[in-house]
Amino acid sequence: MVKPMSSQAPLKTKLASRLSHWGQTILWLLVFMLLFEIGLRTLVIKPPLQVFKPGWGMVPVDNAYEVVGYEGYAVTHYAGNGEVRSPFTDGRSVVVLGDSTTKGAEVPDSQKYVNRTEQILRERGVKADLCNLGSAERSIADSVYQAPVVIEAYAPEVVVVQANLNAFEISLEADRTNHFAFGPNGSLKLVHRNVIPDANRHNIVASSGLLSFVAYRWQFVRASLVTSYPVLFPNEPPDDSVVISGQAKMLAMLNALREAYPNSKIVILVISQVPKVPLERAQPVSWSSHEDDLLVAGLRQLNWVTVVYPSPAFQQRFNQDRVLPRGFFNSPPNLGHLNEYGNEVVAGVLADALEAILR
Amino acid sequence: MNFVSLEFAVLLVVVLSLTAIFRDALARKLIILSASCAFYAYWNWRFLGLLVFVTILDYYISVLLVKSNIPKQRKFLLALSVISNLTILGFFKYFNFFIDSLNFGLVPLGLSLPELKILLPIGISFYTFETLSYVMDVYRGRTEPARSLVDYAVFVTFFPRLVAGPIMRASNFLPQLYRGLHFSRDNFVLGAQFFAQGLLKKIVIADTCAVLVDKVYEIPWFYSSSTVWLGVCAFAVQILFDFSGYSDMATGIARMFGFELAMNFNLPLTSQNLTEFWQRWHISLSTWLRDYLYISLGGNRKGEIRTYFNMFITMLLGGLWHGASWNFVLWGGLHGLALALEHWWNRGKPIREWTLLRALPGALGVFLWVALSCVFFRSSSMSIAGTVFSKLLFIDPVGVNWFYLPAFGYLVIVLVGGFVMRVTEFDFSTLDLSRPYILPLIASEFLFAFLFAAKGISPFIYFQF
Repeated sequence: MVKPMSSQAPLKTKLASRLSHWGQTILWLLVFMLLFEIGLRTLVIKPPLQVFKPGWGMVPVDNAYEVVGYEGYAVTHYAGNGEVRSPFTDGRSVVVLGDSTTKGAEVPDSQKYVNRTEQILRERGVKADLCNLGSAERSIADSVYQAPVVIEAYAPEVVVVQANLNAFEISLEADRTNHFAFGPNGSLKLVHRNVIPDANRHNIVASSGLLSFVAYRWQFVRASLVTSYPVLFPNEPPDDSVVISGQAKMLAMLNALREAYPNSKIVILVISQVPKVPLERAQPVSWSSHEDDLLVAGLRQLNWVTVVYPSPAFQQRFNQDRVLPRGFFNSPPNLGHLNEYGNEVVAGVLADALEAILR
Repeated sequence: MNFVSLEFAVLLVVVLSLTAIFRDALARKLIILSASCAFYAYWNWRFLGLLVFVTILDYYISVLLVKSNIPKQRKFLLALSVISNLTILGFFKYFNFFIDSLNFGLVPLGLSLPELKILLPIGISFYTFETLSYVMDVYRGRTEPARSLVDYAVFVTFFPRLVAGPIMRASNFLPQLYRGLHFSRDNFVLGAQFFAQGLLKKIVIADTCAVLVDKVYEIPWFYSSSTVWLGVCAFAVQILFDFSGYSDMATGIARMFGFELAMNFNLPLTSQNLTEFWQRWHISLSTWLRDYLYISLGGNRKGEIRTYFNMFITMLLGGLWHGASWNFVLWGGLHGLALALEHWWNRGKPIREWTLLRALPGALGVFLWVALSCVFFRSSSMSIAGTVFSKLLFIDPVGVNWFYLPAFGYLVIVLVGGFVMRVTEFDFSTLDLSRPYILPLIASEFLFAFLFAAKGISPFIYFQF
C-alpha cells in the first residue's frame, strides 16, 4: 500500500514542476508579446478601427486616429466619413480625393498638403474648407461611385482628384469593389460589387499593433513566396493589372467623373514619381515622367479640367535646397510617399490653382 | 541554397529527422553527406564534380602521405596537392583577373588576350583552404588522416559551413565526427539561438544597412558628404553582420547536430588595435593565413624587416583571396601595411591589457580604418572609390542629405552593444538553457527578424568569395 503512494508522489511533483515550467514559459511569452505590442503601437502602426457606411464603404470610425511609421512617422486624426481632420471647417467647400499621398500617409496632419493648401489659401484671404478624403489605393472608379454621398455631405464647389496614370489603370481591375467595365460598343459602365466587408474581422486585427504589423509584413513575405514558389500557390489569381492604351478609355473615365460631380469644378492633380537619377554623373537628373507627361498633355486639351502638375516645382525646390519630394528617415530618397518638402511644394502649386478658381 | 529560404528549411527538417531516426553512425554520415551534396548542387550541380574530385584527390594523397616514409616522395605528394588545389582555384577565380591585368600591360603593344567565360564555383576559396590545410597538417604530422573517405568527405562538404566557412581544421572537426552526432535539448536550443541571432544580424541589421550602402556606392556623387560618411560606416557594420550572421547560422545548424564549429568573430569592433582586430575578425581565415602562409614565409624568425614584409605579403594575399580584383589587393595591401607599421610602432612595448577606457580611442581608430579601407572592398570600380573619397574629404560636399535612421541606429547599437558584451563578458551559451524565459526569448528573436527584416534580402556578401 505504501509503495505505490511513494512512487506517485515524485510523479505528481514532476508533473507539477513541468506544468509550472510551461506556465512560466507562457507568461514570459506574453511579456515579450506585450513589449512588442507597446513598441509597435507607439512607433510603427496603430490602424484606426473602421466601420462600414453605405455609399462610403469602409471608413475609420469618427474621431479615430492612426499611427503610421513605416517610412516616416505620422499620427493622422480623422473626422467623420474617413475625412482627415483639418484645422478649418468653415468656408467654401473643396473636396480632395486621392490615394494615400493625399491622405498624407507618413507625414503629420500639419504637413499634409491638403491642410497646408488650406492654410496657404487662408493666408491669401481665400476662405476655403478643404475636405481631405484621401484613402489608400483610391481609384477614379471609387471617386465616381462615392459621388452621391460626397455631394450630399459636402456639396463641393471644387473637386480635386489626385490621380496619375495608375489611378486610371486600377479603375479597370475587375477584382476591385468599384471598377469600370467597357461594353462591346465601347460604352463605359461603373460596376460595384455589392460585398459588405466584415468590419469586425478587420477591427480584430486593427486593435493590435502586433497583429496589424504581422499582417502588413506577411503581404511582402507572401508576395515573395508566390514569386519564388508558384507551384505552392496554384489558386493564385493571375496579375490583372491593366495597361491603358489609347486616350479614349481615359477620356471616358474622365467624363464619368465630370458627370458624377456635375456642379463642381474639376481639378486633376498629377504627382509624378520624379526625379529619375542616372547612374552616371555626366547625365542630367530627369524631372519628367514620360507617362505622366502624356497624361498631362491630354488633360490640358480638356477645357473643363484644371490640371495641376507639380513636377517643375519639385525641380525648382531641388535646385534651391537639394531636397527631394519623397523619402524619409526610414526609406530611401525619392521612393514612397511625399515627405514634408514634397507636401509643401504640392500645397504651393495647388493653392495657386484653387486661388485662381475661387477668387 | 540560402539559409534564409524555404528549400533550406525543408532540407534541414528532413536531415534532422532522418539523422534522428537512423542511429547507425555510417548511415548518419551518409545522410549528412547526401544533404551536403544536394545543398551544394542546388546552385550548380556541375561544380559538384569539382568538389568530389578535390575531396577524393586530397584524401588519397593524405593516405599515401601516411604510408610513405621517403621524404622526397612525401614532398612530391604535398606539392601535388598544393599545385592541384591552387591550379583549380587559380583557374576558376583568377584566370580572367590575370588576363585582364595582362591586357592592361599589353595596351601599348596593341595586343589583347581573350577572356574566358568562367563561372566561379561557390565556396571554392573556403573548401580549397580546408583541403590544403588538411594535407599540410597530415604532412607535418599535426593531424591524423581521416579514417575513411566518407569521414573526410563529410568534413569537406559539411553543409552548414560549406560555402562561406568558418574554415575548419580536420583536427577540430574529425574527432567530433568520430564521437558521433549528439542530439539533445540543450544543443537544439543553443543551435536555435545561434540561428536566430545570425538571422537577426543578417536580415535585420546587415540588410538594413545595405539599403543605405547600396545607394551610396551606386551613385555617391548624388549624396552629401555626411550621407556618404554614414554609408561608409554602415558598410563596416554591414559586412561584419552579414558574415558573422552567416557564421552564427552555420554554428547554430551544426550545433543542432551536436557539432561545435570554431568561433569566427569575437567582437572585432571592440579591438584596441589592428593586430587585435585581425585576431577577432574572420578568425578562421586569419589563423589559416598565419599558420600556413605567414609562418611558411618565415614568420618573425628571419629578422625585423622580413617580419614586416611577411605580414604585408600575407595580408596582400589575404586580400586577393577575397576576390579577383585590384580593389581587394589594395584593401589587403593597406591592411598589411597598417599591420606592419603598427608592429613597428609597438616593438618592444608591453601588450596593454584591454580596459574600456583605454580601448575606446583605439577602437574608434580601428573602426575608422576598417570603414575607410572597406571603400576599396565595396566599390565596384576605382572611379567609384575615388568619388566616395572625394565626398569623404569634403572636396565635393554638396548633394542630397539622407540621414537613414535605421542604419545610424544599428551602427550605434552595434558599437555600444559590442563594448557592453565585452565588458560584461556576456555569452549566451553559459546561460542555463532550461530557464522558462529562454524559449520565449528565442521565439521573440525570430518574430523580430520577421517584423523588421529589410525588404529584399540580399545574398550573403561572402558567397562571392
